Amino acid sequence: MKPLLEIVDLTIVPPGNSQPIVKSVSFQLQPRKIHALMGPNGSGKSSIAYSIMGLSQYRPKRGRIIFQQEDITHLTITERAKKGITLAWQEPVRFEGIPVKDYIKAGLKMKNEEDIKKALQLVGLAPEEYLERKVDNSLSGGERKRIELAAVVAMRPKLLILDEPDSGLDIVVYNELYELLDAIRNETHSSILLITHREEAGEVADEGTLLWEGKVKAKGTFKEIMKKYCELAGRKIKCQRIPCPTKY
Amino acid sequence: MSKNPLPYEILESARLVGFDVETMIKEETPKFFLNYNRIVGVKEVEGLILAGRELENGVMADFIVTSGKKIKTPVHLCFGVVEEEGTQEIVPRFIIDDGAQVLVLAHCSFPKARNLTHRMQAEIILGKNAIFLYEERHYHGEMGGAKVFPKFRVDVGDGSFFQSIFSLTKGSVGLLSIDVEVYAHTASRIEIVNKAYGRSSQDKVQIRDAVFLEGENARGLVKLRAAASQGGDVIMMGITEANAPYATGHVDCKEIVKGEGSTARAIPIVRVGDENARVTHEASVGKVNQKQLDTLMARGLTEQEAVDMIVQGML
Repeated sequence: MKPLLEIVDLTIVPPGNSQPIVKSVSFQLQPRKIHALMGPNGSGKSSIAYSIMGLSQYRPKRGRIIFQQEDITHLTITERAKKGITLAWQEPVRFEGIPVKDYIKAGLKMKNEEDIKKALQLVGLAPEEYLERKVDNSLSGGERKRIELAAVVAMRPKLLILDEPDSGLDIVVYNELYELLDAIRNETHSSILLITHREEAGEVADEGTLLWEGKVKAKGTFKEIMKKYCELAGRKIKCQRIPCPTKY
Repeated sequence: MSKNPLPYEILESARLVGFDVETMIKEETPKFFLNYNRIVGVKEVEGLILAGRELENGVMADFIVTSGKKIKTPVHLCFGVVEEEGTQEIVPRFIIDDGAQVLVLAHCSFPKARNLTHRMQAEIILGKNAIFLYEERHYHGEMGGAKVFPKFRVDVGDGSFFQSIFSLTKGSVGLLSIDVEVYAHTASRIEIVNKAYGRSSQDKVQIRDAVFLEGENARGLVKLRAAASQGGDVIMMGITEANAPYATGHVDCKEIVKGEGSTARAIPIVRVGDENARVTHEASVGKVNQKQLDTLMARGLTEQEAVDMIVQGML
């Protein structure tokens, strides 16, 4: 099967940095799979996510991004979104005065209110309670993240990039979230690139890539990655803060 | 009078800016409609007196709500011109007598304006304990050819509430110059909200809203929201003076600017003439939040569509 996404020799120097944070990274994502891009904070995961999405400040210094066998490295965010790529942010931004239904509707080709309701239900929000609410500071962090998920799910993208979907959520809703990722995949048939530094999140993944200091250190199944992750974390005192899954 | 005295283009622009056109044109709806400089629709209800006189280049009108009368349904005003060129001058006088209440929805539409001037010189007088809610929405077409000069002088009696909401957020602006002065007496309450979006180099918005809190315990809020993109030019001045004990006021200006040649200026001016009075202000002018833009573009919107959505939300 041909990969949906190929990252080839990607090097990124994000804004405010003189040296690359992502160094010659290559990996592939297969259709309808959840691919975990794992690694500790600062390893370059989010920079890769932004680069795939096409954010101007994260244009690669070197390398290529191939989507459905087409080089999209020089396309704009909008062009990439129209091809079926979208991103849910780690910390979704708030919008003054924009109702939830309009926010979700913005990404839909067919502006069908039923699709909006369905997406809200999928992320566990009652449509009658949320459709008219504003995407502003009146929403809690958890509500805002769910609405972000609903917005990208409703688009039914070919590639859904989820940047740390569990950050800022209460620990009690983690399991719910991981079940939700499975539900999203089953509902939308999207491929998911899951950016995370939590090994629990990676458990829902079919495959993954481990980043360490901007470089790929392991690829393969989740177990294979976690073995390498623990090995690397064990060598680094600073990484003892990351809960090490000794079961691997 | 025909049931629907307004041209199709005027009704469509009313719909575009969010008015309920079907209600607006209903025969029983209280109304005062102009088609250019002709009075084409008047409907009074008990307690509401509407009288107008046509002039060479405009109309004089009296709008009176008699003492103690509470007008239950909104009163619709429509000042429309479908001609491309010309002048429309409106000189209205609003009198809201003691204890009276009314909500007015005003629609000013110049959908084909190429070289069209609209002037309004309004005098508004509220008696004691009256409530006057006034909402005015404009549409100036897409060609930037309107020159619009609304001027209001408002006197708000003891214990009364005056609220004015102005918006011009769809289509082009052309030149818009608003000048409002409100004099607030004892324990009265004032709320002025202006929203405008200049989206091309032809669009210039100048707004001066001044509230003078002259009576004890008078309260005032001036809230200005504007955006300038693709060369638009917006300047908003919110002025509040508090000259009586325990008068309190606030001026809140927020503007965003996007694109080369666009300019936005916010000028809050506050002055206190009594040691027990208090006026505060806040103002911000800045570019469109990049993360908001990126988020909407990642949904497939173009940059300009994303800017418009962010601005419409703010406005």
